[in-house]
Amino acid sequence: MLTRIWMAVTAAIAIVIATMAALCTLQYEQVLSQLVRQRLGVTVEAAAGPFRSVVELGLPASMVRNSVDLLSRARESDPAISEVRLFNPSGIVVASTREGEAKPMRPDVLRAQGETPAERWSLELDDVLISGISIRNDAHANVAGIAAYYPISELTKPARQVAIEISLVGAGLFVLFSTLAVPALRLRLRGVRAALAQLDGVAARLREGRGSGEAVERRRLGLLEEDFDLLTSGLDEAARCYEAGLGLLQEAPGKTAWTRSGRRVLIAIPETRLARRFARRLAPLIALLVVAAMLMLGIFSYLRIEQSLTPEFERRHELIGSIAQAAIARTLEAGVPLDGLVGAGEYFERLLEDFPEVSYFAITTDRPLVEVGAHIGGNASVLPITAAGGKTASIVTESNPQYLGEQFRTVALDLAVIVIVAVLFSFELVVLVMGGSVTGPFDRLQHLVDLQAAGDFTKRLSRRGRGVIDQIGAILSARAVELNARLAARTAPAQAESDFPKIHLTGRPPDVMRFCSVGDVRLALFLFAAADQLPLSFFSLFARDVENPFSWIDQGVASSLPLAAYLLAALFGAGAARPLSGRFGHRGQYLAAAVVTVLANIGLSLAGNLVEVVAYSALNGIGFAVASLACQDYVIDRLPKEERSRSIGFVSGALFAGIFAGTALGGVMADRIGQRPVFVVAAALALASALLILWLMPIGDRPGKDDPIEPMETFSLNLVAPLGSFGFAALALGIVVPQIVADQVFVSYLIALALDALQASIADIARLMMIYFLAVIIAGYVVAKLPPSMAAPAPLVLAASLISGVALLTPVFWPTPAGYFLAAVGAGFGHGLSRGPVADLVVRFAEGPLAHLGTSSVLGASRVLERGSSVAGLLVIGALTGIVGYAGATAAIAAMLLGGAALFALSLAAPFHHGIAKQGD
Amino acid sequence: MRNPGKLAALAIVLAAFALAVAPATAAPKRVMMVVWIGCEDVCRGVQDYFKENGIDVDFLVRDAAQDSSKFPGFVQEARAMKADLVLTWGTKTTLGIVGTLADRDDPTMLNDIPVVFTVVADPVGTKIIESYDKTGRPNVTGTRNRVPEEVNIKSIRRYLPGFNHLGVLYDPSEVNSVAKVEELNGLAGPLGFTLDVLPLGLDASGAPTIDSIKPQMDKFKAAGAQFIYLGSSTFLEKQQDAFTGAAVDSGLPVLVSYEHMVTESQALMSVAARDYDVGKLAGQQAAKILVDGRKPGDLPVLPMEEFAYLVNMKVAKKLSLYPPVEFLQFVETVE
Repeated sequence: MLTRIWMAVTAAIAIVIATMAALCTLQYEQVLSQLVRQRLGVTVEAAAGPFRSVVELGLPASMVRNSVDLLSRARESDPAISEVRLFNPSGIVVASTREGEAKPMRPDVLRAQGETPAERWSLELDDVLISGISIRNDAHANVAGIAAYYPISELTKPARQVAIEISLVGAGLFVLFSTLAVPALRLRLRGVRAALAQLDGVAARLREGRGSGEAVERRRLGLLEEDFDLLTSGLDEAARCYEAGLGLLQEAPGKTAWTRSGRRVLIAIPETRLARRFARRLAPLIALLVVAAMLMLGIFSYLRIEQSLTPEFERRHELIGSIAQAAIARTLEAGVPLDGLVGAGEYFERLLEDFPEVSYFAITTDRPLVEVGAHIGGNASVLPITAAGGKTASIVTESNPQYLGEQFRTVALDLAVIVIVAVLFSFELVVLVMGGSVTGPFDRLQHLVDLQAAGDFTKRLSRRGRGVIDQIGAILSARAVELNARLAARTAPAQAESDFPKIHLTGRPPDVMRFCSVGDVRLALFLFAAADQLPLSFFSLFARDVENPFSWIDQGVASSLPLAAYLLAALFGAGAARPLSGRFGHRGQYLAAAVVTVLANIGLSLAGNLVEVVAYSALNGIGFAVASLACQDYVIDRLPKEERSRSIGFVSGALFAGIFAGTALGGVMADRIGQRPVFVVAAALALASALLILWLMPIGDRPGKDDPIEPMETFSLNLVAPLGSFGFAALALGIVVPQIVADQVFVSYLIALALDALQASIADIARLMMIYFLAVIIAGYVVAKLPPSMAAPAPLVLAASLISGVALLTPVFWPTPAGYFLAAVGAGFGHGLSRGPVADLVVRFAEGPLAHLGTSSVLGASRVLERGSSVAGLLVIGALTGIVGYAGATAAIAAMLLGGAALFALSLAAPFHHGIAKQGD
Repeated sequence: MRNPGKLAALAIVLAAFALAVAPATAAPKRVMMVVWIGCEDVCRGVQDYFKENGIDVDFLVRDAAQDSSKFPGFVQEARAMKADLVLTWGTKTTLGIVGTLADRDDPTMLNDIPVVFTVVADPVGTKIIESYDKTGRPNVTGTRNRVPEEVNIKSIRRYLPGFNHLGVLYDPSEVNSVAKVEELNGLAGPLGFTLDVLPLGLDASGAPTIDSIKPQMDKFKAAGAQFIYLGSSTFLEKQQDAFTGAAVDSGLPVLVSYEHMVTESQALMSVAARDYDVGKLAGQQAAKILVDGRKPGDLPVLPMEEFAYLVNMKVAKKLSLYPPVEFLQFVETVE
């Protein structure tokens, strides 16, 4: 048992460390690539200065006669730069530091230039890293570009080195923590080990045909003593029943070889107290081991990135200093005296604007001649210059520690995201491991013991491991087989009940029990949700940038079509989910959905135009709706009713954790490997999730005649009847619809576009979306912990909409990333706060004033409104963005929330609300 | 060698056959270049272009030596020698050889031989051609070597951020010089500067006088002009030292469109193409007619594609008017 648990823990540590190492390596590569691009950006920025001036004066950049000299100066700033080019908007290379005729710029480079709203842009190709800058005219149109080329080997060499280091440290941590796990588990399972040792004795006695209790010595069983007593007393009772059965079937032959095994039956049992205690004892330890290993790897990665960041930052600072030095030296060489410098202050001010890495520039002799910027405690760099007549001066530059701090914060945030994702993943993994190795076997054995103690020998366990629990289970199963075999040999099965009223036998091979648990679907659903949300942070940008064959459609509407198709298809998928599970079973339903999702994501990775993106998004929507509802229905249909709400909570938790992880990782991955490959990763995750279901979800869960699945989720299109009630209409139209629009349209669509327009990176967008999901989760936790006096649903729902509405007004008046951050936090908190209470209120309406319409009708109306309004809202807001901009569209959603809240507040005064409020009190 | 006589005869026959079937070597093209003040960098650039590109030409330079009366003779000579192409340098020369659009049917003008003009400040304003894209004359095309005047004004402002007062000295006897003044007048309002325009004094024959330069410079200084601009004047170009020297003596910087006035004289700054490169551009345009057989009237006027900002640092020092640091990052300097 201990070995099995250790192996499971070791496997969990290995998987989590491997995942974490891969993510940290990816993160390091991203940071390194970004740093090199930023350094190259300094070079191209400096090279662009003269060309910008020429364009400002009214000449094309290509007409500068000494353009090659100007580019060569930039190239000399870094020996690793292989080439610097000046090119015109059509891609023709006008000047290059490389001799000979240069080929035109590649289309993907021109595309990168064209698609980047900022002047600086960069691109990573297979063999080269390109950092570029656009030179624009007064009308902000690109009139030229400068691109610096950097061999990718300069990036891959250190990246490979760090990947090896992270892998080695990961391997070391794996060895360390898996070794540590042995004594830790021994210590933690001291009592359990004693109990297991006792069970070894029990197993031996059972094999010898004796009872269990005589062998038990109660020492050091600790908290498990009571549970152990329950098990052993059950075993004794089971043994008595078995012996009674044997006594009744004495004359029958001892053994019968069955040529067939028993039927496979699905069993849902509540978690036993023993298993729960076991889990409570072990889970924190396993979590501690896994999280500690992960954190140590995260800290190492952070320190390793920091090691690269600081020197790289200093290198960049020195590069900027040398650019300033060269400019002043050039001025002095031209014959301008040191005390006759004209426009040096303006020149430095422009450098300060272009390079936030530096906070201060000065030219000093025995006194400062020119000073620009401020001293804010950065490192100083002093470079000498010699003026005519041998007079010397210095160029002093000071780095900007605030900028460096921001860079570190960004890295720390990115790594924190990775750690949170890994924690969520490891949590699901630990749950799976615990279920498979610890609680599962106890639950299964206890169930069989309980059956046999009650005289039921019609079922047995399937063969699994060789641990003592499995051995005892095997012995008990053998007893069931033996008794049924004896009965089969002696008499007809039909007579069994009447002959042995206290012993339940069938005379057939005992049914093989296959146990269902929420653990069967949690990790799979986590992965599926992650796969679905992976492209979220960039999907609206992807849809906007893909070729649109219908140029007559407004750009805002066109870019919202794929998401609208996804939501519409999800609406259809949700409707089809229940009939599908009835026909194919939850397992078949999930696997079919996973196949659709894999194909949809591969299709998206290859999609060439908007039509294809819309089609594959629709498939994706169907896949996600069907798969997630397959899990929910599995829990509803297969798990014990007494644990249903808790199990649904677990499934929802896994779903949100997956959504969070997918959103977080998608942004980081898209920045690193590009948008299209992220769809391939999503396909791989969906496939992995399908394999998990294939492995964990029992076969044969398709309901038969005797096992119908209750049709619990039917959609009613009769919206009018429930909406005839003012209270329900106020709830549905005033709260449900605005909240879902805020959730689906503001978060999934508007935030990405608005932040992109504010020049935020995809990783920034993803972080903001994660903040939203965190706010939803935290608000849900807050609602669960509220004292009953404060948990009345109607005031909570009202407060939630007010919070969301006011929060969404922030970016309207303050359209900055910080404004959108506050909006996301507020909207997330409001949405999380309203989820439970809204569902509660809908059920109260269904069971109260609208009971005559039927619960299904009311719930169905609410769900159709919810899903339908998310689609309609998306189309309306998509069209609005083209007219009033992103801030205006956000204002429209805020107005919906606040107006809706006002409507709902009005309805609270109506008499039916008093009735509803009393329900459930 | 058994029969050397037969072999010799065979060799002679083969050689004769080879000569007979070989293409006749094309006769060199006859090109005349009419210049105003001798064969300088532009003229040399044209010739070097032909040489470098293996274009076989008999190149004949005809120097008017600032005497307009020689033009009819050059026209006749070109016809007599059956010139394949005539190149003209400068506005006066071009007007003297091909006239204006109104002279398209004038037999005294060269309307029957291809002509490529160069170093013409404003060929449209002086009505030599209809437009840069379509000359409107079947036998005439040319090159452009000037930046728009707006660029010049912006360049002065970049050099001297507080600039708002410009002085222009012009030659009233030169059409191009007068046309340039008119063009600048149109820019003064939109670009926000005051324009002072003064003509050169003329002698009894109507020719400009050197003595009138210095007094006019003093007037500019007294009026508060901050920069002097030479729009277009062959006379002032020829008298570059007198012109730029007078300006510097009055404490006034000069911006010109002729690089050599910065490198060889005392103009402070030029925004211009190198004369030698302008010559090569004219050679390139001529080659399209001579080699490719293109019709001049079908060829748009070929613009110069490389310009440079040139600053004379010695003059800057003399005037205590150093260029700003940012400006010096892309300008070329001379001492």
